[in-house]
Amino acid sequence: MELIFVIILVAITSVFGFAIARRTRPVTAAVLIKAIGRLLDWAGLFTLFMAANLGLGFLFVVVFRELTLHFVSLYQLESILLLILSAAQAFVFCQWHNRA
Amino acid sequence: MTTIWERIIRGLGVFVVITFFVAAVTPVSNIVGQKLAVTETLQPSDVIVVLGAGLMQSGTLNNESMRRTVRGVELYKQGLAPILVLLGPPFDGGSSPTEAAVRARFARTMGVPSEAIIKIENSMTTREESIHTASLLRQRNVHRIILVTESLHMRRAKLVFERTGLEVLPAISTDYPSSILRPAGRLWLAMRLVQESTALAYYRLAGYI
Repeated sequence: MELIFVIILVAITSVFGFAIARRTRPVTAAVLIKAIGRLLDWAGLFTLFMAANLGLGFLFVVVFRELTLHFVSLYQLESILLLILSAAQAFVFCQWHNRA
Repeated sequence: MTTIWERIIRGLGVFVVITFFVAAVTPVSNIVGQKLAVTETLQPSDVIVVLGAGLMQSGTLNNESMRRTVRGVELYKQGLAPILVLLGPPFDGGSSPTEAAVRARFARTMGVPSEAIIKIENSMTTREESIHTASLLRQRNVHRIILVTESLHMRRAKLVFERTGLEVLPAISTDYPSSILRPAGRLWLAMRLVQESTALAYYRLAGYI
């Protein structure tokens, strides 16, 4: 039920967004497919950046624990901020790469 | 002209999007979770050991910590063991009351006598909890414990406690794989599975279990 509700909401706002965008610029199926491709590129890059950030964070915590007497929990990596910043990293990298 | 890297990144993107939908919509996370989870075995024992799960900054128990404490008190009230061992350090290792102290206060409110409660307030990880608990229980000649934690954490916790020589009977505070059925919950469950599997691999590599 939750899934159907969410899909209906997203479908409605997508149709509205598409209709508004068509008034200002011509939007073809080819452009839409390209946009979906970019979304997949972003998802792939996001996964890479997230994995790299988690891996580096794990390394920092383990080394910090070994070198000092202070305890730092690995649960520090369970951060919504890290998730959002990884997504932003991937977005900026994607835009830069596409325009380079 | 797409390079090999661009193709790899797009392929990874396709994989991640498919995995996201499969994890959210299908019961795959629940099925995998049930394989990782440990089932409950309850018998009379020497002590009930309730593992830490964390405090909120205000000094109140977080949801999981509360569930484990309630389960521990419930088992004590059923007469499964005469001693309740409550674990948990202070929030962020500071000087505020420890999780164990907050839990002990709650247990007393629920009718557990002070002399039946033991607090262990300095363990930061599951491994440290096993070492500190085992060293304390060895002095009391205790061999068999009921271990209280959530079902996904139980596999690692049970193995690390058994490594200290204790006989461990698992008691589940929450069985997430069978109680989460909504898409957002399933995504959280998938993340917990990755987290717990990584922790298990780390414990094996480090020789803790």
